Amino acid sequence: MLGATGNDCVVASVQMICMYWRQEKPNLDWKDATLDFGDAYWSQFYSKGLRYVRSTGMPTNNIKRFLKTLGLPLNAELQFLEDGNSLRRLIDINVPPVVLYDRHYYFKQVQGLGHAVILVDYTKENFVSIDPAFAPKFTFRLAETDFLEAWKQKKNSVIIINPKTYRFVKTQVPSITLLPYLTVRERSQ
Amino acid sequence: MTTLHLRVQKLDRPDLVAYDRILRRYGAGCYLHDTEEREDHWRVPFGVYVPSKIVDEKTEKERVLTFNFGNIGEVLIRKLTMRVMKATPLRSLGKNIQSRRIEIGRLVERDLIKVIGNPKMHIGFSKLKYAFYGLQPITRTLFRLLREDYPTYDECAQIGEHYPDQISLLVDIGYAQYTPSINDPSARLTATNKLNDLYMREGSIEKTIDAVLGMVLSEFYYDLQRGMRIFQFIPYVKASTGYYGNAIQFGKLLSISEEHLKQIIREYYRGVPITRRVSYAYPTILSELVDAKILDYDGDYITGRQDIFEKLVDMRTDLPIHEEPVVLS
Repeated sequence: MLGATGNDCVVASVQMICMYWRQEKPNLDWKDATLDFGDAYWSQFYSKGLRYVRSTGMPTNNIKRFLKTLGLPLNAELQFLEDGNSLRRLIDINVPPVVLYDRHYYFKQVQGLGHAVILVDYTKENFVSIDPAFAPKFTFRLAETDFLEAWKQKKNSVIIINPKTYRFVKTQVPSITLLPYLTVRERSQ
Repeated sequence: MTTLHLRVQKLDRPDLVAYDRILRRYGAGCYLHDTEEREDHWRVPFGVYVPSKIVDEKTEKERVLTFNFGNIGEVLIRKLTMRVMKATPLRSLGKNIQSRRIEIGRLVERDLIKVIGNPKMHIGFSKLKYAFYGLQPITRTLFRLLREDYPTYDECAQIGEHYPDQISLLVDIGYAQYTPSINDPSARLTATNKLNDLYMREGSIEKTIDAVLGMVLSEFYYDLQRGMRIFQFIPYVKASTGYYGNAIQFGKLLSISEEHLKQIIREYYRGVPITRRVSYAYPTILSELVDAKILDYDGDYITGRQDIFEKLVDMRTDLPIHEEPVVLS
C-alpha cells in the first residue's frame, strides 16, 4: 500500500488498483509489470505518475494517458454514479472503485479539496476504504450517511479502472424524471 | 469479455457537465460556484483548492494546508446542446493560481518588511552586505550627517546620478533636511532633531544607520525597486518571506535545512526569475540574515525569531487557508 498526501492521492490509488489487477488477472499482457511489488518497476510507477499531477489535482484524462504510456491492459473511466447502491454493486463484482469525495466535508461539514480513496468493502453502516492519506494504517471506515453526503459534494464521481476485457453497459439516469409528475397525477385522481 | 451493468447520472445538468470537464481536464482540486444563467448558455465559475505541504525537518512534523482560490476559471455550457462551448485553458488556470499565490506572498512580504523595519526590532541591516552596497548613498550620507559633515546638494549630485534620489528618501521620512531650503543653491543637507534623538537613543552610528535603513526599507521597499531600480536587498527579503511565510502557515517557528529553505523560496516565488548569481550566493545570504538577526540557527537548521513571528502570526487568519483533517485513530 502507498501513502500520499495533498494531490498525490490519485496516483497512489491508481497504483494500488493496478497492483490489484496485476494480482487478480495474471494472464493478461502486463509487459514489464512484475508480480513482485517490491520491484523497482513499482517504485518508478509512482514517481512517473507524479509527473501527471497538476496543482489542481490529477485530471482523469491524465490517468488514461499514464496507463497508455505504461502499456498496461487497463482502462480508466470517469463516471458519475447514481447512488451508493452502484458503489456496492462495483464492490460486489470485485471492481474496486477509486472514489472522489470531499474529505474536509466528511469531517467538518465545510467544503474542501477532493480526495481519492479506494472502496474495498461495505457493511450495513460503513464503507471500508483504503486511504493513502492514512498511512501506515490505510484502512478507514467511512460512516455511510456522512460519506454519501461528502461524495455528493463531488457529484458522486468515481474513477473505474478495469481490465480491457471488461465491458460496461451503462444505464443513464436523468436528473429530472417523470416521478414527481406521476405522483401529482395519482394524487389528483 | 466480461459485461458489467452500471447506473450512472445522465449529463443533463450544467453543473454536472462542467464538473465532468473539470475532472477530466484539471483535477479534483477544483470546486464549482453557483451556475449563472445567460441568454444561450450557462456560466459555471469554479475555484480551486491547492494543497501545500509544510515540513519541520527537526521534529519531522508535516502539515498539509490548503489554499482556497475562488473564481479562478469558468466553463460555459451551451443550452441547446448541453455541451461545453468554452472553458478556461489549463495554461491560464495555472497562471491564475500562480498570480494568486504571488499576491499572498506579497501580503506576507509587506507585513514582514513593516515588522523588521521597526527600529525596536534592532535588526542589523548593515550586516546585509549586498543590500548595504545598494543603499550606499543613504548609509554614507547618514554617516556624514552624524559626524556633522553637512554636504550641499551639488556635492551630493556630483558623487553619483542616483545619490540625491536616495537622499530624498531620508528627507521624506524626516531624518534629514536642506537648510535653509532646497531651492537655495548654498543649501546644505543637515541632520534633523529626529535623527539626533535616534542617535542618542541608539548610542552608536552603526545602530542608528541600521534603524534608519529599516525605516527606509519599510516605507520605500517597492519604490526603491520600481522607481530607483535598486534590487540588491530583494534576495534577503525573499529568503525571509519564504521562511516566515511557511512558518505562518505552519502556525509556529520551523527548523529547516538551508537546502529546504532554498526550495521553499523557489516555490514561493515560482515564476519570478532568480538569477544564477543569487542562487549560488544563498548560503552567504542566509548567514548574513542570521547575523542581522532576521533568521537564526537551530543547530544545523535555520529557524526564525520568535518576536518577529509573533508579530506576523495574526495575519494567518487573513490567509485563504485551511488545514486538512488528521485522523488519529
